[in-house]
Amino acid sequence: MSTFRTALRVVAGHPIYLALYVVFLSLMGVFVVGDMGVATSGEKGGYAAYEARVAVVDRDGTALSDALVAWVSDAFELVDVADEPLALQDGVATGQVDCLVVLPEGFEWELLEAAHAGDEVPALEVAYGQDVQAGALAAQAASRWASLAAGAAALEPAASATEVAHLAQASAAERAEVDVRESEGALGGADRLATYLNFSTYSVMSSIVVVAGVSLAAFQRPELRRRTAAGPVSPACLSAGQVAACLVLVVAVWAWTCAVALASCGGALAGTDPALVACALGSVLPFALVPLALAFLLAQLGLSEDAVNACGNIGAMMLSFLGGAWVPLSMLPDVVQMAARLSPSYWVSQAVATVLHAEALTPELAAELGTNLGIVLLFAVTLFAVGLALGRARRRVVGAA
Amino acid sequence: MSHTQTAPSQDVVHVTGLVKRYRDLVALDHLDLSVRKGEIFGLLGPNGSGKTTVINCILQLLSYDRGTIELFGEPMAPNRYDLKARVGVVPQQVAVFDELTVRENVDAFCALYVRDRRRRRQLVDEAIDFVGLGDYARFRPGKLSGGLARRLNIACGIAHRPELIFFDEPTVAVDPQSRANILDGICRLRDEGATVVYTSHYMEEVEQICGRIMICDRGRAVAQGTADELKRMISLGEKITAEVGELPEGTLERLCGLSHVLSADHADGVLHLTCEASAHNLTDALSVLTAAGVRLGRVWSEPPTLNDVFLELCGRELRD
Repeated sequence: MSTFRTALRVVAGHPIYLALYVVFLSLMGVFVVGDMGVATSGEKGGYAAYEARVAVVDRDGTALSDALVAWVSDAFELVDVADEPLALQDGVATGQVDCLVVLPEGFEWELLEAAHAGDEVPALEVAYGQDVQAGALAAQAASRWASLAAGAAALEPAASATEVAHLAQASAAERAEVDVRESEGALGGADRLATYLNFSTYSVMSSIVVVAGVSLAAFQRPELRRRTAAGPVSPACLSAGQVAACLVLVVAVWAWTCAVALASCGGALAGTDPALVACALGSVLPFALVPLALAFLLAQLGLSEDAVNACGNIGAMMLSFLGGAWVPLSMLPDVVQMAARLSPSYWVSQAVATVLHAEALTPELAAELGTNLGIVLLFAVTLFAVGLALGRARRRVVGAA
Repeated sequence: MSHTQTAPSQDVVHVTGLVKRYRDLVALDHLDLSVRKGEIFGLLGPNGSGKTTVINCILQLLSYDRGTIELFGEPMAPNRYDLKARVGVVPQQVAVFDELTVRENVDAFCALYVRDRRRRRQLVDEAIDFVGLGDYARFRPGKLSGGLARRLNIACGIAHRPELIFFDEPTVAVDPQSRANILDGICRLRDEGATVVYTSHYMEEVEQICGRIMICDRGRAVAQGTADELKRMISLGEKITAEVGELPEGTLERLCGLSHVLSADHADGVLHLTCEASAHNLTDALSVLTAAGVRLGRVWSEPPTLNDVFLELCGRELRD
């Protein structure tokens, strides 16, 4: 009991780690999922065409060039820029305009000549500002207008430039109808929860490895070990107290992760079976024993605080990557997908995905869930056993020295 | 070697024929050791002489090849937690939790021995007062100076009021004031009834506080007894120093020829004589110097120190 309380105090003696790894990283997961929700949840809303600030320098001053300028002013925000080299450069460089279109002298004549001859339409002279995407789309729209004008001139060879401009204006005014519909594959509440829990393999792994590892390592300092070993408490009791305190940490991290998951996805989970949600959340608990076992192993090796930090971060990133937390596994090469099966995060991700994509909790589903989580527990047991063996070997070496 | 035999029943620690081997290296070679109730027992020896090894064996932190160890008249074993509960350890390096405050640290180690919370609170308060850390009870070890950290180290080892306390070089890298404070504290523990086993490299400390001393070297007990008994074991009985200026030719040889003179050395106008124990060493030397017409400055005579004993018994070669 005394060792348990001391170990708890040691765990609590690392508030920075707790705040950084447990709180900050789990909240980062909320932002990750929240961002995905906005982008792909398919919530209905109005459609708005992209916006761009466009400047057109008309050096031709013909009917066709005037019509193009008029069309641009209708479609985009038309910005007035003086036709001087420095002003044009400034307009683009300072972000005053997203797209600068220059209509050179002879624009109308060249365009009509090319159209009548069946040649390619002369390309517009354009420059992009800081928002390259908006600028490129605006330039594409201006080129499209010029192509429509060329098309009209080719179809009506006798038409004047003013008539060609009218025809181009009429064609450009026609737009496809936009209707926003929710696709069947869009992320629902269950998918958001699965995504969050997948990401939480990183936060759970790193937080427990670092905090538990540093705390357990504190008891492994040689002089402290000597002092506690000389006391009237058996080594088994001492270890049990330390591991029990770290189990409290594991449960606390798991509970915090579940609370954050429910707080961020709770509203969207209305249509999901609560039993399935509970199973998904519960799946994270056995997984949280893996970093505890890894922390135990690292502590037995007598690693420094910095080394435990490094192992916790790198190990958590690697394992969560193999669990598909950063990039969907299906997008990765076959060899990586095969290697992922050697990581516990893969199996817990499978368990969560299986549960959250099911319609009800059936015996078959429970069996599959048990298999996945059993494999996760095997990882924990293996790491713990290796830690025990390494610890004994190290103590023998240190004792002999 | 003078070894005072005491009945095992009076010994708090009784070690006989202890052998500890690390493959071919014999760390402890049939070592005998007895510590009486209520004394401060000094354990001296060069680096690698086996001091820490014998303590680790007594505390059952190390297994050993042969020999018997008894604490409080009963055989010691790794699972004799009843005996371990009566022992305190103050390791050489500060062994505390960096994450806990002074009070929490003392409480953490005291809790290994005392379960009753109320009783423990009282003991922790007393231990903190004993080492004078009352103003620092809420400090973490990282905020303490070296001397204060050493005192915390001691508080953690004595809070549960052990009957037998092992101090393993507790004054290493400590300023003179803190050292005096620590030594006073150890004597107070003895006065309150505790038995202390004290290891140190500082001879003057050992001579100051230890009732009996054992010098060990290469895993063997080289000598054991009181400081005076140890001093009588060596050939050196007296050291004479005289400010003489220049010495006439042949004077140094005549001094060396005196009976009981072990060595004579003259450097920078100062004469050093080492002599066996004798009542007339000083007068004999002064007679030779006066006869040679030497003008004497200050002259003084010193008995041997424990340092002389240590160097004579363990040699002057460097150890690792």
